[in-house]
Amino acid sequence: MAATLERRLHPMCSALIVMSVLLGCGGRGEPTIDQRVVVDDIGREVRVPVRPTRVVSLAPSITEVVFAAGAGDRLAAVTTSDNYPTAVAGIRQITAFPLDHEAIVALGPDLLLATDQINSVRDLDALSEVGIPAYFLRFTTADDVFLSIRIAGRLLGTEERANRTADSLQAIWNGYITSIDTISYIPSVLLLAGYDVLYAFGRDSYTNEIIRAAGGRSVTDALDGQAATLSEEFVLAAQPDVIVGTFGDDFDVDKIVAGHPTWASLPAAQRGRVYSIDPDLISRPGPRIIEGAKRIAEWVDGAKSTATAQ
Amino acid sequence: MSRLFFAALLAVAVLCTFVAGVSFGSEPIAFADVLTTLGLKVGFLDAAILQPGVEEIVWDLRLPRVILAGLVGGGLAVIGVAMQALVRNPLAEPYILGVSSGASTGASLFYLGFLPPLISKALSMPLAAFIGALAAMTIVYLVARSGSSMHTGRLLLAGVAVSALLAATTSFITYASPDPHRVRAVLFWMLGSFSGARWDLLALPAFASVGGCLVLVALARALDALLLGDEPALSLGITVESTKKLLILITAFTTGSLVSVSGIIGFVGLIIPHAVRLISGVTHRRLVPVSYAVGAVFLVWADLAARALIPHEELPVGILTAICGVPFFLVLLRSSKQVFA
Repeated sequence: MAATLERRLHPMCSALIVMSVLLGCGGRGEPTIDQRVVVDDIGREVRVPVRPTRVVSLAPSITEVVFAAGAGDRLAAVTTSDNYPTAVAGIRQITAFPLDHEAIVALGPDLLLATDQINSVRDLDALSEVGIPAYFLRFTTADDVFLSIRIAGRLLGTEERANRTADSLQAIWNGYITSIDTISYIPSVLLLAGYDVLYAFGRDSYTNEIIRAAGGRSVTDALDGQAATLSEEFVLAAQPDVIVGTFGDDFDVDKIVAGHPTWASLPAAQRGRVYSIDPDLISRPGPRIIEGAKRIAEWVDGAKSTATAQ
Repeated sequence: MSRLFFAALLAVAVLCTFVAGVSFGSEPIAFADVLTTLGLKVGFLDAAILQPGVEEIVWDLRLPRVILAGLVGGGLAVIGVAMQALVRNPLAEPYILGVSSGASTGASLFYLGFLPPLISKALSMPLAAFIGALAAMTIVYLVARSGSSMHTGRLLLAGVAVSALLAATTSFITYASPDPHRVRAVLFWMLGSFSGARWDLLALPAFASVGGCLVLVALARALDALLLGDEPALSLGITVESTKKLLILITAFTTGSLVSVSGIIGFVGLIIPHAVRLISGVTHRRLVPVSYAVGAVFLVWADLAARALIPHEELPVGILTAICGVPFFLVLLRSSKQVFA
């Protein structure tokens, strides 16, 4: 973990800081004394301010990560989709998709935090040309969430607090993973992103790890890619014990089986284990995936106890 | 080739297609299990041990799906025949009167939540698409009509113009929608799919498709006459204007109903009639029923490809009708002596 972080941030930037000091950092191409060059998660070299104070988060997940890193007060703007934590209500909002270039230039931030899940590299390279750097975070595994908290801490000058938070969140997460009882029955879980067209999550999605941390097994974790459009036949053949839709807490789960009458024969429907969860706890790769895993764990445990009782 | 032999060949093709459609799919199921399920449901067998899910897959998913694909394929093909006769243009197909773009606009307005809640509560996605399709066709028809007669050139142009307007509207609606999942769902619908097929949803498409075909068979002589032009048709004793109106009405109802359940499936209504003309000639007494059978067979196979191409996953069938159908059609075009104009 720490080794990855070192590789990502440390050698490159320290070498370049030294270099820039030695060279006097005059020219346009060289970083100034209050800047350093780092390599972001997607391999771009970014010249970032040493102490950024006006940061724009270009994705709701990143906002949550920045707050977890203890640097929420550095945010000059967030996206119009942001709704967590409650402190975002007082922060200016801009449209991130499609990106409102002019609003960002007018705001004059010293750093943009982006993710390649949502933001376009080309858009942000264009902003780098006018002197607004963008650091891209990439989330492919659950561990990337904790790593990104550390990175945010380093970039925004709250390293100590960020590392403490990341350590404790990681410990909770690892606790979930190690406490999984692999000897008894592992219930199968179907996690859905859409209920009329059956969008689900494939092999490359970190959401399968959330299911695993919850003590279940995602039935879609062998499908190619991050997103898959399931066939109805697949669901019937998979016979999931639990179905979880990411349609919000208020969603009427009866609609799921009503829309797919054949599913009434599935173990999940027969035992009333069809649920819906706040999508932000699952689809947002932020610290709240822990809460998501905890919620799903209750439902998985329910399925487990039924199986054990039989 | 004698007529009887040809009819027998067609019947065998339909039967094989049906069997293949029920036997193969997204999940592998043994042929014996398929037969067992059918035996159980029809009543030949009393009880049998099957893997959980098999019965539902065969009887509740595949069977209605194959039937729906057949109904839509047949229906779109015969409506294509009718439109090509009506406007006397080889480019004509069921969607030229704005049906598809109207349905898309209706469906996306509904699905992406741009309608007032009071209206959207009373609607469903198919109903919204159906209303959109009818509204678009009504506008086109009103523009094309002058007095009691109807100008086919104006009909075509109005159709193209209204389609362009509605396509832009749909693009704007999808672009302005904040929810990426719903945008993808609407896109999936617009590309056409039979994944929602269910027994209880088959009545309307069956009525629209079979009914449309029967009416067109009854109108076969009038369709032949229309191909000669309005005046020759009149001199043959065809009531040209009322026949045209009837054709537009059938197109509106049949295409609107089929699109509302299956989404927009392109090229079937264009290429099947042309392909069948090359084989069975231009007289509508044969062209209409043969097009129906060939259209049905073609779309069941295309849907089978949509189900089976990516294991466990679903592809929009509209993509495959173009990918499978068009190259075949181009070869047919190239090798035929007919000029199509």
